[in-house]
Amino acid sequence: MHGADILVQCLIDAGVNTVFGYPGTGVLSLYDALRRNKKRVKHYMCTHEQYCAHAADGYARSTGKTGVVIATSGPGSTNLVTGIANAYMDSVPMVIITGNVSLDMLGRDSFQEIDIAGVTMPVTKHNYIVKSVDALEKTVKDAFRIASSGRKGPVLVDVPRNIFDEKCEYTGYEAVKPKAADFDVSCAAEAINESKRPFVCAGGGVISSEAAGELFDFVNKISAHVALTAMGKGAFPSNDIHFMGLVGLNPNEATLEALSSCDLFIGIGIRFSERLMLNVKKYLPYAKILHIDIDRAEIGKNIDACSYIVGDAREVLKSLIPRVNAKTVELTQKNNAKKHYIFSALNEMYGSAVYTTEVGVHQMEACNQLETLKPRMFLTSGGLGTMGFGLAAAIGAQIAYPDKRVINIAGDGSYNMNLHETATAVKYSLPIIQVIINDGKLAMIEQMQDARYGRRRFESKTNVKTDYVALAKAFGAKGFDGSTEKSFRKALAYAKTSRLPVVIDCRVTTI
Amino acid sequence: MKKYILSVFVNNHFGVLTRISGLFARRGYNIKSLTVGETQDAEISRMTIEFFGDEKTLAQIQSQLMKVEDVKEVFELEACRSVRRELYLVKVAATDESRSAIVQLADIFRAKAVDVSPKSIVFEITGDEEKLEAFLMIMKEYGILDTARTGITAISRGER
Repeated sequence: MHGADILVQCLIDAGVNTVFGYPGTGVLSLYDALRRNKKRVKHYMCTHEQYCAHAADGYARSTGKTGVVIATSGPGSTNLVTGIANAYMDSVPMVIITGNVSLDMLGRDSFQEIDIAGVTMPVTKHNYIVKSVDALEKTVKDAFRIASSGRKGPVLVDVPRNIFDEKCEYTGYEAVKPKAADFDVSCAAEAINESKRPFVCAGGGVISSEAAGELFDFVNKISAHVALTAMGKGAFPSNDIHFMGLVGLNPNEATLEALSSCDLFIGIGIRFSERLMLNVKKYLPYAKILHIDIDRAEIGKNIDACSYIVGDAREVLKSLIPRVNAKTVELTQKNNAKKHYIFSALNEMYGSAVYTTEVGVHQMEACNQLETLKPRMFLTSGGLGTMGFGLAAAIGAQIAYPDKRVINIAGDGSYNMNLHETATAVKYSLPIIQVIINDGKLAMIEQMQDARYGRRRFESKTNVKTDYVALAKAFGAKGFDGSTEKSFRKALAYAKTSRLPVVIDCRVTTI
Repeated sequence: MKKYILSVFVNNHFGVLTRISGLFARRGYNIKSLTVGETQDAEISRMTIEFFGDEKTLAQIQSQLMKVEDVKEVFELEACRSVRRELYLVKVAATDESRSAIVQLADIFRAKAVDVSPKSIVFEITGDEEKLEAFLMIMKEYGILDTARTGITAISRGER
């Protein structure tokens, strides 16, 4: 078999039926093989490699499968870097295939040659340069194994273009996932049983290990307050009485009250990021900390836990539940904060949609105001904070779930970064709803300049005169104004039956 | 701050050294020295990493290293349970008058003269850090023209 066919066969063997990518000289032989196999592996092309990577990321986050993205050498591969880093920071399983110049031209600064393995070393879980066609099959299969086991993450495979055209046998090698190490829950169970007011904080690890059901049972048994990190949104139903809100930036009053009265803080699948730590230090001076995470290196990295368990959240919770005593703790009441018309309308009309967000104030508000009842229904760039992520992630999620509604919440600043992806949504007839919360400014920048720089605002206005409704039409999408509650709801009602992307421009002064 | 020595067994692939040194640089750990060489198994290399830190950093470095796909095994080599050696090449200024005194002193340290010129002698010396530092101190009197150090390599002592 030719290298290109071997690679496609590896994708098929890994259960991949959807890939994202952008062709270029370095991967043309691979594209020829993809063309031959287009019935088995569907290829989607965005307008730019970065968004191919975000789309693969959105596909992976919404399904739990490993996302696949392909790009050519040089600029094709460097354009991926933000997308790879974004997946790395949020532990999203992804396999990235890049073409490179042929083996004999490597290291000679050839046209479109970049040492992408060197460039991406700090933002991948692992990466490879394939130096012979004999190594290709094992490398690609190992890449899938690494991306999807343990703490998940992106793995890059750089393939010099001549390898695609060389031949060798397809062996049918199987990459075996390593067996997880044993863990002991007795210390943790004891700490929980001794605790009077436990507080559970769940993160992306719970979603990644499909542990939402176990988390629900665990929380109900020990009657704990629950908060989520942005990455954990959906790990616990936001309409449940145990649920307090999100921790991180600007937690609500009820969350802070529950935090300060707890005597045991149980972090599950979280990494105690500095945004969370701000509150942990302030509100938890005396509470004990129990840390459960799959990554040994997270234990003690940002916080010293009095006890910890290194293991998959689902497996750990399964063994913990029978070991902990049932409790009844009086729960802190939370007041339902008033919601912005955009979010109340979305909650009412599109409660079961998959939401994606960009980055900024709209993201914080979407985190706090959107009801999310199930995992993988709220996709946001948590670690890297990538403006431009949302629309492409929505494209990935909509491709994964043609029958679900997918809605991207954007600010105008973020939309200006990725608005060309509207063309991709139109091309594939993806009925994504793009909500632009258009306040004409980078609201988070303005907040920070006001708070930390004595209101000395600079470059916080976007100042573009773009008519987003007309632009939507120009892309072949449907554009609506949603600047009032009435017009917004009307646009949302129209979108129910649309088979095309719908862009709603909500000109608001504040959210 | 304490000095620690880690033995790290890694796949003998291209790029592994960059992965490990990059990890130290990215996470802000201070490497004092890093040596690497093949083991009896040509597929596996052994790195000996000397760094300064505390117990917490040590634990963090070990866990971070274990996450690197090419790393097979990591363990700390404690001073009392390991043999640590480093090789120095030292070029000392030597004249007709001082040469014999320098060679005599070097003999005490079991340093071997490996090159002689009218104006200098190059010594090869191995040992642990204290011995090598002492040798340098002595040779300073005569003028050290150049030094090259391999960095520490270390191995655990046999079972007693």
